[in-house]
Amino acid sequence: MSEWIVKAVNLTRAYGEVRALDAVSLEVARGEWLSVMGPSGSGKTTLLNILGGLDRSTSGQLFVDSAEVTGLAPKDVTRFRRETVGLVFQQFHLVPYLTALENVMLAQYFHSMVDEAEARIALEAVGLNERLHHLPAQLSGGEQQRVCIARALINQPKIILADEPTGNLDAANEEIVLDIFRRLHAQGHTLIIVTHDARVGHLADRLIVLEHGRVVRTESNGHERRQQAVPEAVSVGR
Amino acid sequence: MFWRVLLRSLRHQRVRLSIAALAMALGSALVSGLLNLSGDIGGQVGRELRAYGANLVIRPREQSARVGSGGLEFGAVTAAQTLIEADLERVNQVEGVIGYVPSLYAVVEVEQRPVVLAGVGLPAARSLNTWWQVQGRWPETDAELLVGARAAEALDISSGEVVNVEYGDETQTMRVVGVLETGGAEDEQIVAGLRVAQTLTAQPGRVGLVMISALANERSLETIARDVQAALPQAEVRTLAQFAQAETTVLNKVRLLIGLVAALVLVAGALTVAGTLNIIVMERRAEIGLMKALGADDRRVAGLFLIEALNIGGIGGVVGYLAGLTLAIAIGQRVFQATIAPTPWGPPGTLLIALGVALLASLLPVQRALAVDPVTTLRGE
Repeated sequence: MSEWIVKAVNLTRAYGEVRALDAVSLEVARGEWLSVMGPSGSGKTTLLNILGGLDRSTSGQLFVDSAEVTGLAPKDVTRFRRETVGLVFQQFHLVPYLTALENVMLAQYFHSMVDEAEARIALEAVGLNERLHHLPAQLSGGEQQRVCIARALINQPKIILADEPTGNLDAANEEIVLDIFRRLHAQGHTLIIVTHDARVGHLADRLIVLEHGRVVRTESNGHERRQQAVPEAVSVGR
Repeated sequence: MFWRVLLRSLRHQRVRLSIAALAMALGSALVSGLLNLSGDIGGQVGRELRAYGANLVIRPREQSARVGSGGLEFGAVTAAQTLIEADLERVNQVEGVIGYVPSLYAVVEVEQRPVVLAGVGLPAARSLNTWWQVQGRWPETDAELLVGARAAEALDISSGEVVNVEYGDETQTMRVVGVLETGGAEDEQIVAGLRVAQTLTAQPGRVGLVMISALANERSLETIARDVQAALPQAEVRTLAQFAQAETTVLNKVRLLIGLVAALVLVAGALTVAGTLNIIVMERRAEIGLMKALGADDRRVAGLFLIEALNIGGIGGVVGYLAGLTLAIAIGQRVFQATIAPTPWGPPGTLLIALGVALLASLLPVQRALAVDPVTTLRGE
């Protein structure tokens, strides 16, 4: 495996006697697309939350981009989240009273400086140039998910974590969103996507399957990381 | 971006926030009303109490001499003393003195029966002794008098009659123009202008007793008494201690009542704001969780809710101040029959109290916002 960007060593998350995550070790290479699959309650989301600094492991170690995340003080974890991670949610989680543009700018605001032009470009990159000033309630599920992706990408995170990103979408919108992920992967972004959908799971370079908090299977899809020219439409970084 | 988020958020929750601001405005209105009233309440209550009589009395200093013969001592002889009326002008210059009623008493005969004639400064008596009830009218010339209600019965005279008032060799014919009822000694006297008594007793420009009405609001009655004494060293100035104590007690009770009501209203306002903000935090848990997930630190999350609380306090304070001022003016007119002037520290006082209460009320909701766990809330729990 090429140089890792994420390295988990015996990550465990226990809730009393219950181990939601049980000594999971894995490495994710820079630019790799990793899918995490498994039945409900297998620990997929818990793993994603720990990787994203939203939750803390009970034991084990987590390194992201050579820095150890486990053991960071809460305010440093907050900084880790805003500087290193881009989050895509199944439920989109857009602020209902902010427009699509403002939702993206909100992530900029928490990260550093607000740049409306850049936020506009990010939304145009996911095909929402006509919907910049629409409120979430005025957008379709697919459009909301694209706003969510633009928001996740706006601060050029080192890893993109997506929890069931197509779980609430119809087939057409699922395809649009997956296409965006394909192109992001092609650009060299590191993607870790939790999914129930085997089709989505098999788009990844590598697939791990969790059961009862443990990695029970790893599949390499043999995908070659595409090095094709980066499409203009998804070039959202600074 | 902070202000954009804040403005959108305020607009999004305008109904709920308006209700909280309204509650705050109600509390602030009472605080503002009480502040404006209490600025003048001492004066108002004092003036009301002044309606029930004087609280300082001036009389000539007694000059007595012990008399005796040989080894025998017969006791003290006290000469009847009076004050110079013109000297009383100095009393008016003492801060806190509202006015005074000079008087000169003499025992005269009316219809061959002895009765006390009270010669008083009628204009002053009429304005300061507001509890004096006159059936008929007040005397307008030196040939007119009032007869006390009981004296009228004893002398069997009534309004409209002409009587001879005799003092020694002097006789003055006067018309009874009204029957006076005060509930005090005046009911058994006849009351005429000061000049009438001075002329009859051949003591022009002299007075025997002066009743002073002083407003002990910012200065104590004792301080005013000392100043009057300094202005009239030849006189003896005494406070009507019982009255002064009653006034102090009433004022203290009024102030205590004001303080208690204001405190209760503020607590109620604070609870409303705290309740509203709590509901807002509960409703926006997912949004707070999202902000935290995006990397918002505690300072930014807390800042958002604190500014919202200040907004509630600010709007409530401004609206409340104006409503309270209107309330104070209405109370001033209806209860004290007086115009309440806006207190200069009313606007900043009301606003600061409203902002302070809103901030205080937001502490618990802000703590709850900071305690929001993004994992739980983003999961939809």
